[in-house]
Amino acid sequence: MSGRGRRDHKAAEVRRMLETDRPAVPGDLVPRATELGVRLLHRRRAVHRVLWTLLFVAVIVFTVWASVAHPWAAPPAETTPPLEW
Amino acid sequence: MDRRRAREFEAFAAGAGGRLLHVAALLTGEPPDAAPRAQGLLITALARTYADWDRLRGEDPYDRARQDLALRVARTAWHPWRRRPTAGVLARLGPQERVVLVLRLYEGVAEEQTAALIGLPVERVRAICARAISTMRQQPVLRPSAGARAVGSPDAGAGPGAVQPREARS
Repeated sequence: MSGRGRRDHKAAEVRRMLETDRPAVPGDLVPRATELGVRLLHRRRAVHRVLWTLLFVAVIVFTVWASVAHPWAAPPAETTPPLEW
Repeated sequence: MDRRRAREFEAFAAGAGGRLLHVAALLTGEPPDAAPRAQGLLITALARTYADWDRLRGEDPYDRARQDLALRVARTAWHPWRRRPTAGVLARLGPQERVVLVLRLYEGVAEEQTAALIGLPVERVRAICARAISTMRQQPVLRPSAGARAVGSPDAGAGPGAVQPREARS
């Protein structure tokens, strides 16, 4: 029990060292963060748009190809049985 | 939509900026009045919080920003070439020790959450925290080798004397 108490005491001592004065926030920090955030958001949206467009195009291309090529139909036989006597 | 987000975010950042900058300066080991790296980290953390604003879904933006700061500092533990800070309160600790100490003692994050956040077992977090506390309680001693110390194997190949001085009496 006393071990725990001593540990808490030590922790409190170190915690006091951490509680120094807060630094002053530079006036341009929040605007700069907002500006960077807006850029990040735009970039992320652009990437999403491109990916969705690619997916959409891929679906169209596949559909057109499938309707033309009928890949599910069995191919016609290419060999004939050997004709021997 | 965008305007609402910007308004909410700016209110949050104006309120939480001071505390977050203090946390960032403690994490980087810089003195509070000259903390360029902490400011850079904070700008990025806030920017990401802004970008995620609509996806927070009830999560505290403060937690989101703090997590970003802690993770990025914890990752520099793998960058031995980064110059060690010299003037901050926690300058004599390694990045990982600073992250654990700040989250546990200054921010009051639970051991389990700290462990989950930085991806270490709970026992390891407890050990790092105890070691950091005992280092901090020793009066300003220069420990030039502390940052270069290999994290994984304190007792591999070293005699008992090798780790003794740091463990001190607890």
